[in-house]
Amino acid sequence: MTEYINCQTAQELIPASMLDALEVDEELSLLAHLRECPACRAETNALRPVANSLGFGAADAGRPAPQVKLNVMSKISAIPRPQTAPVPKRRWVFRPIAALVPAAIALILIFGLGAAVVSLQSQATQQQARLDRVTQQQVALRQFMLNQEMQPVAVKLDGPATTAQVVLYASTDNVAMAVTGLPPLEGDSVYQCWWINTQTGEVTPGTTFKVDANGAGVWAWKMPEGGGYDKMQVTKEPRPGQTKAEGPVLITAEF
Amino acid sequence: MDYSELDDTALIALIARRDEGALGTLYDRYSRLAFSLAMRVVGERSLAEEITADAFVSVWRAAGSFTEERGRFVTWLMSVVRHRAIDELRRLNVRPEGSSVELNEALQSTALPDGLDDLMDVRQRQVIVRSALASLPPPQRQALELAYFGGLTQQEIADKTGTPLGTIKTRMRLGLLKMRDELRRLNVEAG
Repeated sequence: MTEYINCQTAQELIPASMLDALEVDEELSLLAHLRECPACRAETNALRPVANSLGFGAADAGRPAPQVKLNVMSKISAIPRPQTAPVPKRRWVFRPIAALVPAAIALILIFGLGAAVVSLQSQATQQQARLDRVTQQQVALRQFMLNQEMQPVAVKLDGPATTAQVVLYASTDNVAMAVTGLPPLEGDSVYQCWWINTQTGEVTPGTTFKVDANGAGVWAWKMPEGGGYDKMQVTKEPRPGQTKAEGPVLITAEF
Repeated sequence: MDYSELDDTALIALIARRDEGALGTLYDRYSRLAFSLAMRVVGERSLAEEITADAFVSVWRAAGSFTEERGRFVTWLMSVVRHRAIDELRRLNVRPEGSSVELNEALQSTALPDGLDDLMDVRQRQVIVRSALASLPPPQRQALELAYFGGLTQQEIADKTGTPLGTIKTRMRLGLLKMRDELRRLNVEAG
């Protein structure tokens, strides 16, 4: 369970947090506090630019070799242009996938909540190996969440997900989710998001994702525009590109 | 088109429309800074070059999701470089964290201000930041540098330096606060 901290403790942690130098449990506790405390959030905002400036302090190492630029230009030339053709309507009423934020793969981040939704299991050895990666992404995800003014959302877990830890935050049009302990999938199987408007029954397929070998990952998604979606579900599907859910519902979140 | 006349925002917009010349210009403009940061973290030239290249490929991929309201491009770029460099550093240190990770490009795009004047060029920023760092008492500077460039947590810094954790916390806090004051002072002096 995320430990609640007061402002004095938070103020002590904020500078290290700006430098990604906190242990995971401290980071979680601080994040939970920041969600509730405007004063400490203001302190964070005041110190963040200072931490961000440190990169300019690196000693000049000269230019990289000319070949590096050639490599960059070669690599970008090989990246296919994004598809722009609209997805046709299918049997269930839904719209083309409009997630503006591409799903990332294999980030490990466990999030505490201001009002804790999921408690951390103390499987120390396995968890520590996963958590070693967390601090790399903490600043980026934390900044994203604070910028988007996201709030914690309760989740319901079913089936194989009942032993997972899922933390989900949402704003009016963005969702950030972090999981650990979700079973890794074989072959073409994927986890898929579905955006649901419970008033109209409209269901829009969202992005698909996989988790890493530890069953972990963290993602940030933008909700499809204009749909009035108030619910999200994650199912396990046999393959990507499903337009209708075939597999079991594993995660449900209502906004 | 004379890309050199365009500011970063305009170049990013062109990159989002897959203009390779725009990326080449941004590369020319910031590769030295990115490479220097990567070198400072990993200390090995070919790896730093690889990190630099990866960062600009990331810029290409993520340009469509970068918006000016989220901060300055150069701060975004340096955040990408730093995270990749620290990722490599940890991989080389063989931590038991499993396979390497890819950053969510959208998360990387949350570049926040670096507190320096918008009109200031890179060299001017470097001078100011280096001056501010040099003004810190060595223990405070060390704590900040081990965290920022070394990717170490406070506990790891305490273990590495044989210093109590509470002392490291204090040094980090005081160092950052003093940096803030120095940056403000030097910013004003720099006009």
